[in-house]
Formats: sequence, structure tokens, C-alpha cells
Amino acid sequence: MALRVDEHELGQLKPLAKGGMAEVFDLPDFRIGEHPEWPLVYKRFKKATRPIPIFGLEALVKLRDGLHPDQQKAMDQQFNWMVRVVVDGQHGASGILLPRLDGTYFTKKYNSYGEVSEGPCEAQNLTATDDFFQRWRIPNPSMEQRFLLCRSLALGLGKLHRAEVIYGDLSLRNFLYRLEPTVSVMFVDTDAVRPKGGSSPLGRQPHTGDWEPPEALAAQRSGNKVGFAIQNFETDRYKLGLAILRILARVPRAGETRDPNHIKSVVPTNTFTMLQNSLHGKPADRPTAKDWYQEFR
Amino acid sequence: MTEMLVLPFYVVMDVSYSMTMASQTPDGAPKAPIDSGNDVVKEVKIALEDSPLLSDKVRFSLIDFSDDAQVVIPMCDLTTVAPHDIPTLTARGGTSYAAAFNLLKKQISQDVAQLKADGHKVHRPAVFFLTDGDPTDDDSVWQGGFADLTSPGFKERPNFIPFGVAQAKKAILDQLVYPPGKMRSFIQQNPNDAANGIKAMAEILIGSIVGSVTSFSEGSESGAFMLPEPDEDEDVWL
Repeated sequence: MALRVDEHELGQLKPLAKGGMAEVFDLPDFRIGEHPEWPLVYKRFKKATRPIPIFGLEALVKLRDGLHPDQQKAMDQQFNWMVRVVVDGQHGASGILLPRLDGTYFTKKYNSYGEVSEGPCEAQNLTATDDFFQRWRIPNPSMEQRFLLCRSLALGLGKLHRAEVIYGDLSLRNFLYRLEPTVSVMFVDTDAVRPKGGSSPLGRQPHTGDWEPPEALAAQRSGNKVGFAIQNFETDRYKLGLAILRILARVPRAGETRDPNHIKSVVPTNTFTMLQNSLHGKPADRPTAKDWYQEFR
Repeated sequence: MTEMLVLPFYVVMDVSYSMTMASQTPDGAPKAPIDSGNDVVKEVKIALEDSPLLSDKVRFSLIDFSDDAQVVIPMCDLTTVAPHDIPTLTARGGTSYAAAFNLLKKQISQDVAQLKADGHKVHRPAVFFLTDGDPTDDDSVWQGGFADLTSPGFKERPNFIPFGVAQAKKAILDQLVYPPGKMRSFIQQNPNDAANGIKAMAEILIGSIVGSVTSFSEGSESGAFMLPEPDEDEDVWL
């Protein structure tokens, strides 16, 4: 299977979205041989982000390709994983190809000017108060749906860890959610992940603010910049616990809370204990994604 | 009680009469720079409404200036302000940078004190300053005002990012970059397209809001302020 494609082979590029590091284009003319039914998008890295080594990105394409077909299908259900590396004759990769996201992960958005648009249903919505959902007419997940979202999150991260891959910069900005037809989450920004023992293709990824594990903050306080940036399975587990807390908390500024007491009254005792172990225990004692998945079954 | 972090953003907009001189936009319709200035607030407001993580942390204020300066939108959570309550910028007089700097210093002192009194931990403010021409003050006056605003003795001295459209000169606006070396100026390449330049400024402002909030980090001494690189393929800025 070809791992890379030249940009000039992609045909028409239709601008879809623009972010700080990349611009995303729809590709109406291009398909890949193994999944001709998949519509694709091209995430083109901005010049300021380049050069990005081709090798690391190709390793991630290969990683998915090397999975057992059942495992691959399971990954595809929850990860917007790159399927090709794009080159343009300049140094490094110019971008990656990704399956176009399923429309079920998009939502209509209203604003105070009465305008309506459609955009990705980012998990950060889950930290908002009820007022946010009412005001912008976005469905407000019930507690039951929130537990199902937590289960889906744990399932996804568990799949990634089983494949020996560290997500790294997990936060509520890096996955989308849907409530129909099934309650589930979809991880995005998968070009920043790293296989265990390897580096992220995009270089060292900082922790998103308010998501730093305690060991990173301790390293920062002692001036240890390398220690501050370390991301491993234990930091993923910390962030999983934090995401669960913030999804279930339903308090003002839930996106910043680290206090498990916010949900003590709404979760079973064992869930609360697991959360305490996630956020306040030793890194090695943090519940795994599999532990969480079983807790929410 | 845990202190909640907030990051104050100020937009300081020139409303001298020259801001009413319409230029051609890429879609062919003439538009006055001051109208694009009014759009900036709308675009920031929509970006904040779209993101609970941003609206939790960002506080916004709009100041305009000509011969004098005034607070148009006091420091607030912009998502709580109804569109019809947002004042429209209107042109008046000349271009006194000093008036803007002096009012800014006073406002920042008051706003930061108020936010702290409300239980917030306040990061260093960021000022996006937009002008379409040279200051009408004597050099020593506006330079003194800026030195005062960014003096190490002023604890809440802001990150300062100047934007110049139309007749604004890089040689002058480069003197308004603070801290020098960490921030930069943005001077529009095409002086005949001020409205588009202001639109591009709004994109950088929103990019900065997103980047800064995402990088907020406990214990960080950098102020957690991020300024995105402008899109290299659009060639708007010098």
C-alpha cells in the first residue's frame, strides 16, 4: 500500500476550515484504493509548522494498516486516523489525508445575532452549564448520556493503548461527540499521537492548559522543562480521569475543575474512588482506560 | 475558594475621521474601515459564544480614540452582552495615541483590581491597537504615554500588538510593540484596502484568544499569551 501521495494528484482542493497549525480541504476528486467509498479531506500544514518529518507520519499510517481488520474497524469507529502522508516536493510532509468526519459528529450552532451554522460537536460543550445548551439550541446530554460518553471515551483510549500508542495531549478540544444514532466519541488530531518508545511526528507536544498532570506541574515548578512536557500512558490516564470528571460535573467552569467532590453525589462510590485514584493517586495507581470502561458497563 | 484564571483582551480602535473613508473590498463592495471595526466585536463575540472554554476565561473591552479616548465596552464577559446593547463606533476628530495610552493605563489598573476583587487570578492583559494613520500628538507626548503604559513600574503593563492600516507607518508602529522581540507589529501591505486589513486583524485576535486560552498553565510566568503567525498565503501584512 502506498503511504504517501503527491499534492498535485489530489485534484480539486475545496477549503473547509482553518486552524492555527493547518488548513483543511475537502477532496471531491480523490479516493484511496483500499476504501474507495471514503470521502477524504486534506489537512495541509501551515508553513510556520513545517518541516514535519515524513517518517513519523508514515509510521502512523502503517500502524493502522498493520492492525487486524477487526481491530482496524474498531479504531476507525473512534479515531479520525490518517490514511496517507502528502508531499509537495518541499522539505518534509505538506500534510495528511484523513477520512472526512461523519456528519453525525456535527451540530447546528446558533449565535446571538440569530445566525446559524454547522460545525464539529466539540467535547468542550460538555463543560458548559445548562444555559449554554438552551441559548444555542444544542441538545444537552442527560447524565445517562454523559456516562455513555465517558464509556465511549474510555473504550477509545483503551483501543489506542492496546495498540501501544499514547494519545498525549488529550483534552476536551481533541475529541468530538454525538448522541445519535449511538452515543459515542470520535478522537481527532491523531497526528499528534506517538507510539510507545517513539516520538510524536509533530515534535514534543505541550500539555493543554488546565490539563497538566501533577507530575508535570511539579517538574515545571522545579524548572524541569523536559519533565514538564513528558506524556506517557500514566499522563493519558490522568487526563482520562479529568475528562470524566469534567463531563459529569455540570458546574460552572467545569472545564477547569480538578475536584472530584463535584460529582460525589451523582456517581457510585466505586466510581468516585476511581476518580480520586486517577487525580490524586500515584501515577502507577491511576485506573486504566479498560478499568474505566468496565466501570461504566 | 480556588482562584479562576482570566485573560483580559483590549481592542483599542482608532475612530478618527479618516476611518470613514471607504475602500474597495475583495467582493467589490466599498466598506469604511470603521464599519469593519464594528465587525471585529461581532466576530469575537461569536467565537466566544461558540466555545465555553474560551468564554469562561476571556474578558473583553473595547476602547476607541481620536482627539480623546473613551471606553466603549467596559471589561466584561462578551457572551453576556446582547448584540443590540453593543455600541456602534462613530468617527470623530484626530488621532491622539497619547489619549488612548493614558486611558488604557487607567482602565487596566481598575479592571485588573476589579477582576481580582471578584476572585480571579488575572493574566497579563493583551492590547490589540488599531490605527489608520500617524499620531497627531507631538512625538514626545505619545512616546511618553507609551513608556508610561509599558513601564516596568506598572505591574499590569500589557502585551501590546499594534496593527496599522491605510496610512499607518511601520516605523512608528514598531515603536509600540511590547515586549519587543516577543510581540510584533502588523502593517497592512495594501494601504487601499483598510477594511480587509481590519478583518484580518480580527482573525489574528481570535487566533490569539484561542491559542492563549489553550496554553494557560498554572505556575507559568510567561503570561500565557500567544500570538499566531498570520497566514503566509494571504500576504496581508508586512
